[in-house]
Amino acid sequence: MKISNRDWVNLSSYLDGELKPTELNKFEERLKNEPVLQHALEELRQTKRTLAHTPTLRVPRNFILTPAMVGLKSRPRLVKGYRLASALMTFLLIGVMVLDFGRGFVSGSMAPAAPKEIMLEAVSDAAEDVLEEPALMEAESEMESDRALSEADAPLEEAATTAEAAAEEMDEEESEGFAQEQGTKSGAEEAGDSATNQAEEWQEEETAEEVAEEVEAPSQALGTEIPGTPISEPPTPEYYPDEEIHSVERTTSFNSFRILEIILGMAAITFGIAAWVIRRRESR
Amino acid sequence: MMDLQDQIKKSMAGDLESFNQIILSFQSQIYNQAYRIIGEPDAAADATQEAFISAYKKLHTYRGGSFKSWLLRIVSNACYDEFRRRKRKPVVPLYPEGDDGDEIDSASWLEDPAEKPEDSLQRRELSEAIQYCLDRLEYEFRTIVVLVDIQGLDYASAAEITDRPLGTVKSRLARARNNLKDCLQGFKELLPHGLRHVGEA
Repeated sequence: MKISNRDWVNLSSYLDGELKPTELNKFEERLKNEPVLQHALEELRQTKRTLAHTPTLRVPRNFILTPAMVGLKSRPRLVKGYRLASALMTFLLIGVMVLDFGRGFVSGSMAPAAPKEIMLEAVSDAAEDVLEEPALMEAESEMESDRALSEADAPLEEAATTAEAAAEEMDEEESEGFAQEQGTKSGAEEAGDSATNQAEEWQEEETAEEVAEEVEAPSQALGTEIPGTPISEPPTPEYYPDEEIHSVERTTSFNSFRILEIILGMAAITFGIAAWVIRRRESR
Repeated sequence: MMDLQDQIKKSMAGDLESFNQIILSFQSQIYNQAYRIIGEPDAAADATQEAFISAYKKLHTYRGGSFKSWLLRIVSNACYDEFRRRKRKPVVPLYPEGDDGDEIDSASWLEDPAEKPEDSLQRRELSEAIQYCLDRLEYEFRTIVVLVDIQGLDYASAAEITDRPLGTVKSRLARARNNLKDCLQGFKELLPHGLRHVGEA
């Protein structure tokens, strides 16, 4: 009697206890009555037992993994890169800080220049305000009309010539004052902070006097008949010392240095933290 | 000493050292599985190594359950890749042919004449006889019988590893056993005394 494929499947499943309960009862009944099935079951059992006794082979080598095998080799490179970047940012930060500090130290006398500058600006603003007042504007227009009339009048030409000479004298006085101011500044730098402060105080007083002279001088020099008109021309920025004008630029570069320092500092910290985090993950 | 779950957890966090501890625990079973499916030591070693690399990279896909079954599934896939590769590029047959072109029946030709330790000879011959018979099975039949009868897994685990329905596993296992029974009768002199009466029953 030949055993069907279905019976072989049932025999195999019966051997492993994988037959369903409904199938199990039926199959056990057949097993009792059919010696062929019993014989086949015994053969399968022996086969299963033989396979269970299959010798275990010794492994030819260990199969442990290295970082390179699983693509972890790039991580140390990444850590090195982040560390290098962090160090570079730190060095740059130190360099920028030294440069910033050096600039502040060399031009230390420029620091207190701000109040003086404000004062000068206030004075010049006041002079401009005075010029822009309606009464003064009217006086100025009257002065211009008088000038037009005087052009046709020969005797008055002498007065005009006198006024021009007076204006030239005024320019010379202003130039001398400016030169004195420059000399004071260079001296103050050499003498140190205390001398600088004294020179600045003196300079401030002198500058105030100069400005006052500037306001009064034109009317005196011109010798015009305009009563109560202090000046004929507004003060121009060219009278300001160069250092005071540049101090505005210095403020801008000062801010640039600060921004650069902040950026470099943040970059250095970020790269450092990134390297630390990666390293920590690897060490887990 | 850490238990397996701790090692798995640490390995998932990227700790290669913990995963290597797992490898040391399972490498024998995995290599034997690969060898019984492929039947060639070097190819089995390659498949085992590939399986462990793949397992480490796919650790995030492990969702609990039997870790051994999970590893066996990966190594079975690696073996299947190797099997297909060998099918495309046939290698020199492992079993020598006789003068008439037929393969020599006994697997004892694998015996190394230089190595004659009596206690290990029979063991080696049995191993080779079983391998000889396994190699005559179709790939999927072989995989299932190795999983159930050599690795000792149940039908459900075998079905999960091979990604086949339970009924298919049952029928293929039955056919595989039936074929193995017939094949092993040719090597009954190599079988241990307790197993020799297979063909005599």
